[in-house]
Amino acid sequence: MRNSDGSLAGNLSPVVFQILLSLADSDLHGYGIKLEVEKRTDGAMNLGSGTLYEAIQRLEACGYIKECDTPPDAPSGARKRRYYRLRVAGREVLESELAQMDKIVKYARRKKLMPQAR
Amino acid sequence: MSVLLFRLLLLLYPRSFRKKYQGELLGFFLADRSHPRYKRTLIGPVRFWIKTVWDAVKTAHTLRMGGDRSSTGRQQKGHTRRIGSMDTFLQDIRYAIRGMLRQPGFSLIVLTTLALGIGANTAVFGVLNSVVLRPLPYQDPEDLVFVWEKNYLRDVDNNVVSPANYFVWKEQNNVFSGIGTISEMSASITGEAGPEQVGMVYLSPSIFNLLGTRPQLGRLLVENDERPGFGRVVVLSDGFWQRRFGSDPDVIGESVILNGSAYEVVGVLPRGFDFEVPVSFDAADSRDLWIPTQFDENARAARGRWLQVLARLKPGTSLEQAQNQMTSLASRLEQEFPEFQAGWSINLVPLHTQMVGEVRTPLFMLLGSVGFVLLIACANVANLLLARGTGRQREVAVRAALGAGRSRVIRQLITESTVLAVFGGAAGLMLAYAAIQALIAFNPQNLPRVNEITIDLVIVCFTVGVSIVTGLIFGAVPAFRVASSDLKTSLVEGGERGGTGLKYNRMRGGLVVAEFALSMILLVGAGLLIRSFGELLDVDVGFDSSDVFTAQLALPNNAYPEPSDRIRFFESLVDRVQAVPGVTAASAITFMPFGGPGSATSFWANDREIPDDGELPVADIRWVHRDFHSALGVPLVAGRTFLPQDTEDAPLVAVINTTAANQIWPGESSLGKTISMPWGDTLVAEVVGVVGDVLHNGPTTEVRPKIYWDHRQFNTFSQMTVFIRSPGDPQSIATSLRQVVADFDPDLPLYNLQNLETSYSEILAEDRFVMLALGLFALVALCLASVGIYGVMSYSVNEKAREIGIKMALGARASAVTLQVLGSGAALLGIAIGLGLAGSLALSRLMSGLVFGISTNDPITLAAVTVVLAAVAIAACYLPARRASRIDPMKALRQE
Repeated sequence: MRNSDGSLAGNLSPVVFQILLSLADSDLHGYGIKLEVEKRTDGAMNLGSGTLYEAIQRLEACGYIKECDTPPDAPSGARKRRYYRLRVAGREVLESELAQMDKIVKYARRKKLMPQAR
Repeated sequence: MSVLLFRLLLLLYPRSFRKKYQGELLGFFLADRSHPRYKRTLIGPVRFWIKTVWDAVKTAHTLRMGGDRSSTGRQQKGHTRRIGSMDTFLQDIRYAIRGMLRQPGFSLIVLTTLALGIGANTAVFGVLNSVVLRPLPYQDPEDLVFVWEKNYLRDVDNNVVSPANYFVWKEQNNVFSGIGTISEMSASITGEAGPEQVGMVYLSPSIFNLLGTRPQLGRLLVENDERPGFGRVVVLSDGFWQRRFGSDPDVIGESVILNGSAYEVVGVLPRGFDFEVPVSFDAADSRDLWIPTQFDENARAARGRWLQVLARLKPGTSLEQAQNQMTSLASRLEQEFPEFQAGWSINLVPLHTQMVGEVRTPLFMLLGSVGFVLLIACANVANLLLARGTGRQREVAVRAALGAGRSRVIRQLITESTVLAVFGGAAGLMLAYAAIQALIAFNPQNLPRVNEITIDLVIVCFTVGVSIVTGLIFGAVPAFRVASSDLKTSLVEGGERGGTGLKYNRMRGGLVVAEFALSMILLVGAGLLIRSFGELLDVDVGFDSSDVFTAQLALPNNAYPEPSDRIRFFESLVDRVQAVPGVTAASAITFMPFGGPGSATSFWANDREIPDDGELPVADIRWVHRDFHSALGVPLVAGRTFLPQDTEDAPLVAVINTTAANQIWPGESSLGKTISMPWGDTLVAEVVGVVGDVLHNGPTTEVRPKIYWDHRQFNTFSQMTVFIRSPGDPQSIATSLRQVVADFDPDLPLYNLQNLETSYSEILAEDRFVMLALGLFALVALCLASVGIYGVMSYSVNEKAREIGIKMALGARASAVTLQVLGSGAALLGIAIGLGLAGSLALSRLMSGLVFGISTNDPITLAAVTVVLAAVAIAACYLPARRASRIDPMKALRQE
């Protein structure tokens, strides 16, 4: 299965996938991403600082995310944090990954491997 | 501290990554550290650190190995590269282990050195961690404080509290979320299992709430339990429940006969629960029964101070705020009731400080000392590796020629030293385990929280961390040294002489100087403690403690309700004991010297101007059997001691100590003068005798005035310590004493049976322990440093064999050669002693709380240590020097 940009679908690593997903609807700083991922995965994915920023570095290099200005509603803490925003390329990769997942899930339902969605 | 550790971890990352994200990583770290997930449990911080370290190691590895990865997927290339680097790592480890096995003698020396260094550190850190660093086993222990009365006129910070004040504090404070009183004493229980003296804690029911304790069985105490007339209830400790009731689950509702009255068992405390009460006047070994204090209306208004008060700060209230508020409450009370409150204020002491404050300094001092030992061990091992590194120059050169890069060679060498360190650390951990077991067996009384000392995950992490850092420290110097020398030249020249020379020797000499300077500092510390301990032993405690055997007895109120019953009992008991064959002398006293705190109150002399309220002098009060002073060997200075005619009906008489006589009537006789003492009513007594001062708590006691009363004339206490002087076997004395007591009253248990010499040595146990520990560390340091200087000198003799051979061929005498070698050793030693002296003087301030009777710059100690150090070092240099003088010139010249 090939996507429009030629990359293989379904090959985002779980960490990268979760980071992109967290940034889908709002700009977040690093620890904010960690908390969001932790909440969504019910604590199953507990990102460490190194893992997170190693992935952020790669995502920035690929042009999937970029650093952005601190949002006006952010708490004015003593320490200024870097916020990250999903770029168009990142959103496309995420969407194609999700589409891929969706196909797999539909296939699994047809095979009666999963309950039908309500 | 933890930020520093994290910054060190960051060094694992490639520089570019670090530069870009350092601030963010630190921010993440700080936020994550306070995540509730890691705050909820005691083990939380450990989990946090394991996760943080693992995350850093893993990603640093990924970044360094796959630094060119630019994609976001599961990469094949990075994966194989990682496996490749894992392989080299394993290969390096295998290679290191093979190398260790090839040179077993060398490896054994290195491993022993490291095991000693790391083991000593682990053991001391283990004790420090369990006793001082680990939070106390109560709910939110950092908010718990002891509330003491403080007398600023007499400079007493932590005085027991009057009930009247306690109730005012309880009702008028707004800084505590809870407050209660706690005290401990011993009590006798009777029943089918025979009489037994047990430890009893009197406490407000609120204390269990303050500590966050939940029952194992039944219920704990509730507020009604402290109201008089609401029945008598008791909560059992887990240990007592097991011992006395065989852990019977149906114990609830049973009754315990305590001091002659029945108490209903309502609950059992959880296993492992205990609370060490700071001041105990008459304590048993364990705290078995927990009983609510019941205050009646009289007690609420009572004068006199005897309570201990524990409180919990309200959430968000700082210690300082609470202290300020309580201080202003106290000054208000002082203005309202000057006759009782003048000079009194309030002092809050955090529970943790109260429990472990005294051992903090010695333990941190010991940790610092073993840190020095480890540094010396590192220097020694680095030296050994440097010496070996010279021999390996050729091997390294060959590997370089075959295409190994410089960084690859360094990595190999560092891996080798880290493997050595990890093996050394494992051996050290075992050593530490043995040492901690020995410690628990050696000194259980004076160290708080001894039963909590364990080797846990924190300590294992500590050992692993220390081992790795150690490996990096002692491995880095030789590794860079070997790898930075010119590899090609080594190969061409045959590797024998490469890497030696002046620069190399200077480094080795420098390490030896550091070793000796550090050893010197430790030796000075140990020397000071040994001298100080000698001073302690020389102190005259004011009585003869040899062959004295003591035992405590408490008469239950219901069996001996009248004071006259108690007087009659103790009088006839002492009479009977004195008649036991083999007993040289016997008597009794309420608070025996070396037996813990005693009673004290204010008093005044009637022929002097009476000082204002709050400025009255304070005297220790003791009630004695009339033969006390002669039986214990307390010298009579003037007048007389008590006589048979000083009975209940005779006029009140008192015997005072020399300090009291000198303080009140300096330069004149105190005999025939009268003193007054408020004890319920004001008692007026004539001073009939002056006796020598007794150091009640051992050599460091500050002596203050003391008043002795004959217990027949008045005594409010129902317990006394009976003591016997007899050269016979203490065991048989104990047996006959028990027999005598059982003849009087079979329901009366004897407790705290002890030799007075043993009590004395327990008082000195902490000083002795710190002295022995530091002495041991200093000895290990000295041995390591001697091995170090021996190695350096014999190495340089071997290296200069040719030069020495030429000199001898040209006619130099053997003695001159010996002296020359000794001289170069002495030069190193001279520098080391200079640095060591400077270091000792700089650090001596830290010892000021630990020495007694001498200055921390004691010249005798400094001189003695210098002589010992010099003698040992010269002896270590002598063997290589003698070998140098026996070099055969022809052989040495031919070798080249």
